[in-house]
Amino acid sequence: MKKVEITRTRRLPYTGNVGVKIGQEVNCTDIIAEMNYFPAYVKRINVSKKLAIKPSRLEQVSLVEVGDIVSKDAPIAFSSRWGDPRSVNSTENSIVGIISKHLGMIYLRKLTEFNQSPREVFDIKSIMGINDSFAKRSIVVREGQKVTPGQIIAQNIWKDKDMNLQQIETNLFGVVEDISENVIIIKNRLREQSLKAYLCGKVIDIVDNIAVTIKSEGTIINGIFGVGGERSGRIRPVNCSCLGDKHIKDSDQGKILVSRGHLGEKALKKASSVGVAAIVAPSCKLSTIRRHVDKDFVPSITGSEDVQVGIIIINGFLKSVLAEELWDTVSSSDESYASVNGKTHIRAGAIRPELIIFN
Amino acid sequence: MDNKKYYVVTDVGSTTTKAMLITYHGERYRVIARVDAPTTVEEPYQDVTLGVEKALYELSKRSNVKLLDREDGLLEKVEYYSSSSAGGGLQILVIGLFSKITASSAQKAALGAGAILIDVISNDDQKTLYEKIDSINQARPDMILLTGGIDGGDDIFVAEFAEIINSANPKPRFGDTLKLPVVYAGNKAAAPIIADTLSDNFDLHIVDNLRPEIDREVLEPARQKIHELFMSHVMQQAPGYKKLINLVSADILATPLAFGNIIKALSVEEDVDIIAVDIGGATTDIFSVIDSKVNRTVSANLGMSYSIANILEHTSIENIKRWLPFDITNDLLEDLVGEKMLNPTKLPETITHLFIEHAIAREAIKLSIKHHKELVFGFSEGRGETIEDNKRKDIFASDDSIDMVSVGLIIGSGGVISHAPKRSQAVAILIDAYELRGVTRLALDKEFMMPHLGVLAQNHPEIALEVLKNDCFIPLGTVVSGFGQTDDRIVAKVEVFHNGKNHFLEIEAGELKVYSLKKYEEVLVTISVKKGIDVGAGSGNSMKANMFGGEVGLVFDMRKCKGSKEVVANPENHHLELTAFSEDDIAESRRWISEKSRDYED
Repeated sequence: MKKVEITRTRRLPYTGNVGVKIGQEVNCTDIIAEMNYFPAYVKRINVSKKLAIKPSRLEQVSLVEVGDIVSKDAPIAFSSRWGDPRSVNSTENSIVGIISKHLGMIYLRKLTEFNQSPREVFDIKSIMGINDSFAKRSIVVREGQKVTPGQIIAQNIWKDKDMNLQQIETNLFGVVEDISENVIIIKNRLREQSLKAYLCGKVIDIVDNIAVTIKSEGTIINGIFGVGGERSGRIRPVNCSCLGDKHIKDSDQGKILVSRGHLGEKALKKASSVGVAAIVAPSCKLSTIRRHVDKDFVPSITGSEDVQVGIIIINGFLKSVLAEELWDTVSSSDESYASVNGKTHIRAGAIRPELIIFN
Repeated sequence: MDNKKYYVVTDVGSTTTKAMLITYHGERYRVIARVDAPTTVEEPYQDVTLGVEKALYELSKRSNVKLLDREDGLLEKVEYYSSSSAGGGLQILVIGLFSKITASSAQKAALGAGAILIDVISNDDQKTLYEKIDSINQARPDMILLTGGIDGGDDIFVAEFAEIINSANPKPRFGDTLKLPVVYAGNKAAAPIIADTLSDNFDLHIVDNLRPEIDREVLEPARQKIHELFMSHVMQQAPGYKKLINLVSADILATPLAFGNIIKALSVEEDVDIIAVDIGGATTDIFSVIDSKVNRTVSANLGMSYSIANILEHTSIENIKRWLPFDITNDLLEDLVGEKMLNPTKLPETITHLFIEHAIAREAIKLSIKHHKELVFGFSEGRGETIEDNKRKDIFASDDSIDMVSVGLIIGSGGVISHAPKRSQAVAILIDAYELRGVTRLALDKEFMMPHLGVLAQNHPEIALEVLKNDCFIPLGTVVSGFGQTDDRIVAKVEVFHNGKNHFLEIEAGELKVYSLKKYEEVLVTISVKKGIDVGAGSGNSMKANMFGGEVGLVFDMRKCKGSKEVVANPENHHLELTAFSEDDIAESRRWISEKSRDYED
């Protein structure tokens, strides 16, 4: 199979720091950029109510403009009407999103520091110091719901001498994984702070704070279906009719295994325990992939699965072997660097997974 | 000198421009030539008229009729019409307050105008404000339909949505520098706020509220405005359409709108309710004309290739298996369905693949009809506007929100139905999927010609209907579907007066029988039923009616006459009686499954 020139622009989801220079040679496993923070939850500040003014006067009392960055407790609006000076302050470090003169509100988008924790666990009963039934009524999210940093996941109002408001917020861009016995578990779905090069090549362009373009040369092999996002590492070809656990070695940690034959479930389990980066194979049963992903999913859009081992399927779900030409290319690339991306969109834009070999 | 008038009609699709030539020939209007040409909307051509021109030359060649002149373009004897879904059709982002109320009405208005919904955003859709802004920002619609609030009601939410749209600053799909059209069809009291918020940055159009009262919908002004904008704004931006607009003798219609036009005309002429299905690779469209009102829904993730695996998820694997005349493990069935999704353009390789595709098609149509009933006749219809509507609501309150007895015609189109190797297979799919009641004719739109005729019907409804009935439809036959409960084994006795003789059939509960009757043959059929059984004339009432034949003939389906609501499937007998599949087909599929199953023994 022929080598081709490959140029890709690598982009952070939100602005951060770029750590390479134009002309620099990079390896596919190198980190080239990192995010610092990103905009998250939107909070509505009812300025007209707080200042007792008509909404239409908001623009006259506002101290900020759309796009301004404001720190926590900084004043965002001020009025001295009737000799009664009052101000409204930002509740968070934020970006000003909307200033609505019809609603009298300012919308602030919280700036959140990057959080790499895989999960957050909130025992609502113990954090709030309340009983079971009150804790149950305080939970305001449901299983499967996506949440963003700053979002309230439990709240209650209770009265002793005064009215008391208790609120618990998440710090993650996550999804509510489980709620049982008043314990909320939130799984982080935005854990990658850094951006890797993915290609072995030369940096040819940089957009400040957000993007890097790399030019490379390699052999691209497209699969038909994959799971897991980008992985890079050294290749090890495995010549077998069906990849089993006996084919996986401890030294395969971080590697990309390319099997000539069908990928079996036992091999996948062993690969997960060893820490293999990805397996490329001609076929693998859908039910095996589902168990690996731990989800009864419909495989039309993939790539964001939280799996130890990425999978790239070349032919399909029914048992098969790699085509001769393809196997020849792979078998002559032992220990070469390679990158894989399991991202598959069967519809929109028909994105198929890929294996790129750099040798 | 040829004084005849010629009607050229094209449907400009994303990949193919389908053209037909209609004229008066042999005592009636008929299609005298049909051709396909590649659509030239994308690079390197970026001029849709190039593909249209090519199609016209091919039509000329095939029909031996000169249609074009190098200097003057179309000749005077030619009238030209076109529908279009090129570049993904008319793509709309719908925003409403509540998903079951205004957002639902807005969906109906947009779908009724022939649009594709790229997203539906509402206050109760469980997206956070942050996600709403992101969704709107990332969408590249042709226009936004913003609704919300009954007249004089709450204006805060809709004002907030206007602010969100402004903040998200979405760009139109075509023409980055142009203002994105926004149609506001919500609370009229909020219209000044909307105008003040959006008119600087968007091409804002304010029309009547499509939900002025909680139980009243007024969809037409919004639909009309969407269509006008489609012509004046979206079409003007699409490559080459400015030229095309100057060539046509009536508006260019979005393809689904044209489809709706023609079935409405047919429903009015034949005085019958109609349901049509177009089952594609990625989506399934359902059209219904009930009491002359056209409704359309698009089940965006139910299709026979790209989204085939979604059908498995939305129904159940057991529901698929009930239509198969062989045993198959869940793992193997899922892998076969998954492979179809991975190779969406691949045709069925074996008879087993065909069985499975047809089984899935039944469930896809069932799910799409359910979706259609929920969206069109669900809560949002409110109390209805007339007593008749209220009666219908009583029917909707039951499981069946469309009174299938009143549906006299089912039209099927889309690859899995049109290209089924045997017409009887198409019949089997349709009767199982629809759960028919009473007497229903079945027809096939094999070449998907209905959009052409819908666009022609703008100026020439009689010609369009004549061609529709004679050249477009392939009549499949008539189905008599009984339902109800009785203790007797024989539930219906049928007398068919055919070729000067009476022919008698006895049909048992749970049985399906076919009487062979050719296309365009009409016979008098008398059906006597047992107490408790209904074939559309009321429980226990006999029926006498003229019925039409077709590729399959008359089908008497008494499978629901056991008190069971669901069709009782005995796939083997059922396929054999309809001659949809043979005994050899079934044996071959069993052998194939047995061979493949060996790979799954571990």
